[in-house]
Amino acid sequence: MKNFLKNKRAGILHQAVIQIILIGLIFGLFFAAINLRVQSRDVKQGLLERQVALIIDSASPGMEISVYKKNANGYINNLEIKENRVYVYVEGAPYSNGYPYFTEYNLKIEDVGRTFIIKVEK
Amino acid sequence: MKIKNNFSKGKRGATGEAIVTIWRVILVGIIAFFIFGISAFTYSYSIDVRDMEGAIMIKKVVNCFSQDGTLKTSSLPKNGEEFLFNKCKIKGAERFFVKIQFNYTESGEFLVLEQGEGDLEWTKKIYEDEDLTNSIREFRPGVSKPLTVPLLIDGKDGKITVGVLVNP
Repeated sequence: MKNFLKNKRAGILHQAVIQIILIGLIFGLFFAAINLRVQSRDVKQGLLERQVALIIDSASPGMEISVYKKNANGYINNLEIKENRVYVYVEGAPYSNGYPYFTEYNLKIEDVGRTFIIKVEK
Repeated sequence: MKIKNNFSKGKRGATGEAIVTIWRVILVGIIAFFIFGISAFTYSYSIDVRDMEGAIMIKKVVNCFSQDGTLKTSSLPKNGEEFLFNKCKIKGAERFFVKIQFNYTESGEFLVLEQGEGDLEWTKKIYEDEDLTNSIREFRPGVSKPLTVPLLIDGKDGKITVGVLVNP
C-alpha cells in the first residue's frame, strides 16, 4: 500500500514536471516572439529606410546626406544602396527588404567614422 | 490475480493521464497562440509614404518639362514613349503611374502622356473618375492630387496637369 502510494505520488509529480516544462516552453516561445515584436526593430528599420529614400528622392546634385550610425532608431551597422533600393541594417535586425527610391542622379556612399555620407552626383 | 488487476488498472490510468496531458498542452498552445495573435495585431504597423513620393514625383516631372515657365511642343516626347527615363532621366520609377495633360487655354487639351505599369489599370480607372477619386482620396494613400501649372506653350497661354499614382 505504501509503495503504491509512493509510486502514485511520483507519477503525479513526474507528469506535473513534464507539463510545467511543456507549458513553459510554449509560453517562452511566444513571449520571445512578442518581445521581438514589441522591440519593433523592424519598424525602426523600415522607418529609417523610408526616411533615407525620401531624402534621396528629393535631393539635388551636389548634396551630401549624413546618416548618423547612432540615432534614435537604433545603431546602424550598415547602409547599402543597390538596384534602386535603400537597405539599412539596424543592430539586431540583420535582414532587410529595402525600400525603393527614385532619382535622376548617381549616388555614392562613404562610411566616415560615425556617419554614412550619401553623395548625390550628376 | 489481485496484483494483475492493479497493474492493468494502473496502466489504463496512466494512459488516461497521458491523454489528458496532451489535451492540456494543446489547450495551452491555443491560448498562447491567441495571446500572440492579439499582440501581433496590436503591434502591427504601417508606414506609408506614398503620398510624399507622389508629391516629389509631380515636382520632378513639372521641373523636367518646364523649369522657366515655358514649353516648346517640339521638345515633347511622343505618347507611349517612356518619358520618365528617356526625357527626365528618372531611374527607379517602375512603381509609378504618371499622367500629364497639356492644354492651351483657348483650344484645350492637345496632348496626354502616360507612363506606368499595366497592372495599375484599375487605379487608372479610379483616377480618371474624378468624383470617385475625390471621395476615396483621403482613404487611399498613393493617389496624389493632380497639380496644374500655368505655362507659356509655344508662346501661347496654357497649362500642364500632372497626376501620379504610386503602387505599394
